[in-house]
Amino acid sequence: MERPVEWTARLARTLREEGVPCTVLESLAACEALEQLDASDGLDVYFGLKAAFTSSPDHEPAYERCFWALWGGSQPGEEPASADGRASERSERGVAGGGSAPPTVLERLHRAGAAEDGRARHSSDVAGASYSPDERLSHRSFERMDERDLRRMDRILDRILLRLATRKSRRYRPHRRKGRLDLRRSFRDAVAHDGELLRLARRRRRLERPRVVLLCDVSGSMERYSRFLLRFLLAAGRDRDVESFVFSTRLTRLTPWLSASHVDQALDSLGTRVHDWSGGTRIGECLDEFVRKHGRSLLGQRTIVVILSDGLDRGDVNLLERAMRAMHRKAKKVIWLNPLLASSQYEPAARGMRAALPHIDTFAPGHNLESLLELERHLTLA
Amino acid sequence: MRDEIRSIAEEMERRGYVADRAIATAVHLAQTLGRPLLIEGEAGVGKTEIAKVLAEILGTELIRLQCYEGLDVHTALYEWNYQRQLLRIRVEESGGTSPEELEATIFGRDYLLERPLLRAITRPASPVLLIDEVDRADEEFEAFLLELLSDFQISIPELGTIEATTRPHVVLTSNSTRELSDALRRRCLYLWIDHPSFEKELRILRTRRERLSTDVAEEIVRFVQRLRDSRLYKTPGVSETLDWAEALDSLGVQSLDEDAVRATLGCLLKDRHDIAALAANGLGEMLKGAPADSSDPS
Repeated sequence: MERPVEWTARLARTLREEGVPCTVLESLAACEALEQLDASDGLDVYFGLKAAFTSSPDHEPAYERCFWALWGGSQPGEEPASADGRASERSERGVAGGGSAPPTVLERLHRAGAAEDGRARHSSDVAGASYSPDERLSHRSFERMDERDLRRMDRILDRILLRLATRKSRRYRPHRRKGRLDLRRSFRDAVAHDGELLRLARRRRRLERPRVVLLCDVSGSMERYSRFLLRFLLAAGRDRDVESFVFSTRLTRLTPWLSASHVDQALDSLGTRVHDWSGGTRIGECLDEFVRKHGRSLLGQRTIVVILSDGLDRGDVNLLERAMRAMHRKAKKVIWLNPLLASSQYEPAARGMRAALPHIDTFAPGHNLESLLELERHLTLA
Repeated sequence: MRDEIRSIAEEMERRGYVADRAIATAVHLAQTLGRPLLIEGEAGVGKTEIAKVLAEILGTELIRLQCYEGLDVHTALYEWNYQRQLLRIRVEESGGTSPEELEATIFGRDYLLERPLLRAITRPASPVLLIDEVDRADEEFEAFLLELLSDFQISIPELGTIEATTRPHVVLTSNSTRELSDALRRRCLYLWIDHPSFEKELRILRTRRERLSTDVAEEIVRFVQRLRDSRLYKTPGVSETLDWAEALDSLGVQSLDEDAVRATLGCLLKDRHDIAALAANGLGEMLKGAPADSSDPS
């Protein structure tokens, strides 16, 4: 092994390239850690630097790849738990994101975000370079809405998200007349009057914004509304406590990509090109995956779930019903926005939609500006 | 493997905690580098237990701060004993104490209620400070915690700055109900604990439930492992396995059969729908070895 400091720096650089956010601080910690480890023992160093460099289980695959690649590809005595897949993983590594599965929306957003990072502005040739033709991308132009309409839509969406989000917090703020006794402040005031409690201070629970979980159907049948969906996701990304997911045949968490400002820009320009959001829908499977993977952490009495989907499902209806029931039980409110509802002839006849209906608090269209305004009226403080 | 790491793993195992290499290494580094250790993982994989065992090994006190939403400085750090202060003022009214003296008295250490964080930095010997489920506290508290963890000193307006007499060994746990801030993650060494492998879980069971026969223990672990692979709303952790094993043992079960499992399923599954789903279709197959839900997507 070369000198530990340089080796560590090299590892940090590869990790950064693989998307693990590590700064000089992590590298310093790693160097300190190395002094406490047996530097000739691969596993010692592996686990030690893992504690220093990673900060989420999501980083684990990238870390494992980078570490062993740098360690010289040698196989140390004892294998780490998931080492079996390593060889195959390495051979597939040429492609960003790896694996043989078709690239997900997330991966595409990520790649586009990275491309955006490199240059101040995007140019079409790079867009061509990062997207292979067989990905079946077609251009998504914001056809019928002009700039003014879009800005108006953003404002409405902001208001809706704001209104979705108001509840009483567990934290207190002072209040003049009502609420619980605040001994601390009462006493402070009393000090000014020679220890005489002239006035009892009170405090009440303050209002707080709850969490909004956005589940957005990006399957083929929703294609026509992708402009709206994108706007909704973008508006949501600006808010701190909104978690965004997109699903078609699989579920993808978008939140991390929406919060960073450069991705926000990237996504804006992407709105015109990303739409290869795949054909089929398996709402049941995706919602079930959401409940199982994120339900316990994201669903709760401070959560409002908003589903944007036409409910045209090709998957397992029982699963959908089960997931909806779980969601309805755990979340404070479940809102389903179905663009098909705009048509006067529409009856929620699709099996999936019928199964989901009993577990929905608000069922509304939300396909254009008027329907959004309508929705806003629905969402009075609950 | 470095000797210190091996001895940590052995010490932990002697106290009933089966630590794999990742855990032992992380604990070793947190000790030697003097950094907080942030542990994440599903419920029941033994995050909190690490802090307890660590305190035992170091032969020191364990100070625990259970986080919850709305936790503030006055519950975590210190609070004045207002009632007592008021009483003192009343008593002193008839006496001849000057206001200055009175103030010095009622804002002295005697009237200060120590909360866990203040206690943790004012002990004569370094305690283990367990900040449990830090994700349940809100961002405001996290920011405050960050300050404490970097400087190990706190300022109380009436008393001035209190510096740590000893630095506590800090262990933070999180169930990831909320993303923790990068700043906090950055300050800590990070350890993710997954559900244990078959071998590890069996070892845990053998260590913690010595009375159990090998056959039953293997059956139990095999069943639980299979259960974790199936579609559940609430996946059982190691603590559930241990509870279940104890229940089976106290019922004198010699080998797992459907009746025994059905009667004790409540130790393992804590969701009505999970229990119903399993009881309705997969229990028999699950015991035999086929997964309950063959359409598992993962």
